[in-house]
Amino acid sequence: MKVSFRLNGETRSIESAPLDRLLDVLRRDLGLTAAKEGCGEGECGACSVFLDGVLVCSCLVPMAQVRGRSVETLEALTRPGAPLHPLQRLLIETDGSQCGFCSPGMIMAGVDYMRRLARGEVEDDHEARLRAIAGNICRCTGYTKIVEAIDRAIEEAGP
Amino acid sequence: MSRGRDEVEVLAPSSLREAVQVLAEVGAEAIPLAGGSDLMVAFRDVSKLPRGFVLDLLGLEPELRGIELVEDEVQIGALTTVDDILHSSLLAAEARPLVEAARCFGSTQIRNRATIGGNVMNGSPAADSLPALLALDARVTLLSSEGPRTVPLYSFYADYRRPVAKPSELLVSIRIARAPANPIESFRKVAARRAQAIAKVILAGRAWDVRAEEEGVRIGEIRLAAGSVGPTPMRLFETERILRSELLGPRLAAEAVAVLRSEITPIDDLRSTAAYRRLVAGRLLEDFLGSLLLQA
Repeated sequence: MKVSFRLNGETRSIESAPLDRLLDVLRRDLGLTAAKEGCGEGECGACSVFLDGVLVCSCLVPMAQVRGRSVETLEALTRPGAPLHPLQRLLIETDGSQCGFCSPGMIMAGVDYMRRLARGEVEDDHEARLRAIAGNICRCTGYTKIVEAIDRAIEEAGP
Repeated sequence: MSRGRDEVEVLAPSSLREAVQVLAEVGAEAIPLAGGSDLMVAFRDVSKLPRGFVLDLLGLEPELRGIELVEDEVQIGALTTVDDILHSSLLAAEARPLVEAARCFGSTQIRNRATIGGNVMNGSPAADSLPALLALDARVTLLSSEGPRTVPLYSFYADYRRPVAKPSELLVSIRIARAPANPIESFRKVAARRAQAIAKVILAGRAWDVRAEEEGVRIGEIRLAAGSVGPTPMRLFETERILRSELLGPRLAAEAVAVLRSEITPIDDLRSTAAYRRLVAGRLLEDFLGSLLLQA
């Protein structure tokens, strides 16, 4: 089937099987490799993207449900040569990215939280920040440095 | 002979009427798909793919997504997401155990996609929402081309992950009882970690018309339900009966815990053991009964 959708602000139209996973189409057909396949079961969060502005695991989204919708991946947060997104930079500065496999999903979950915060949808506290990344598994850092990066990104963004 | 995922067709009806018509004709060959948080995992195994096609339900969101008061019940559309439930002020007022279930359900990514209808139809004995729904007297409405029928959730599962819905029927909504005056409610999930974990034991309860008397506490009405302790989510009718039979004090509490431990039928599996599940289910009931004694 032909699937037309918005991808990082541009209209794309590609040929895909209806049950193809959005994750595979991004990585294999469109060359966008930020979203990673960790578990393929929605447990690890490494494949997180925004679908119509809502954070989802792209390994669980069939292309049939992407038709006519808008997808935003980590690649949209910064462009080559442009400054990094603050959360990307802070993840480097705090050593919150070690092997790096979880980092794209972790950044997407952090950005989701910061956007919901900006829209007034969450009561911000330490517990809420932990809950925001509860669907993203990191096997290197023990999470402390990742949470520090998110804390500092929220502080930098200001009220 | 099994086909690959690439060969499966997806039909996307744009109205409930159209969806029910399709199911009337070829329901036995179709698998209805909502948010995909269970089915997209299952479809990795080609033997779990439908013989015919997948019926994508998300086009029915205008008709089947939403939470509203209908007469003296709360109606939750089948395509309502777990995140919708978590942020519903109506459910916060009327169905706290369900909101608590939504809070510990998966992760943000999963809550954004998973639907209540999908959780009910998937019918896992470890599903977070189902003990809460059972404790809130949930009834599910199924629609076919012949009309709707309503089934109490406690009789909805014939066996392990086997809902009684026919292939021609679509789950359209779930209705739960509104909160009575001064309810005492609880939803407790025990798992390996607080988030993104499958339950070892769940206990949900709602009691009302609870009064302190001289010799103990009189429980007028009580609903108890458990998850991960049998082949299906369970309403604990026997335990409820004992708790309504006499005044609640240490003796009745101990008796109720013993009844609960014999009423549930847990097994050993990769997440826990039958013995641990019995022990913990009893302790969760002790906790709930303790809160009844304190709040009466």
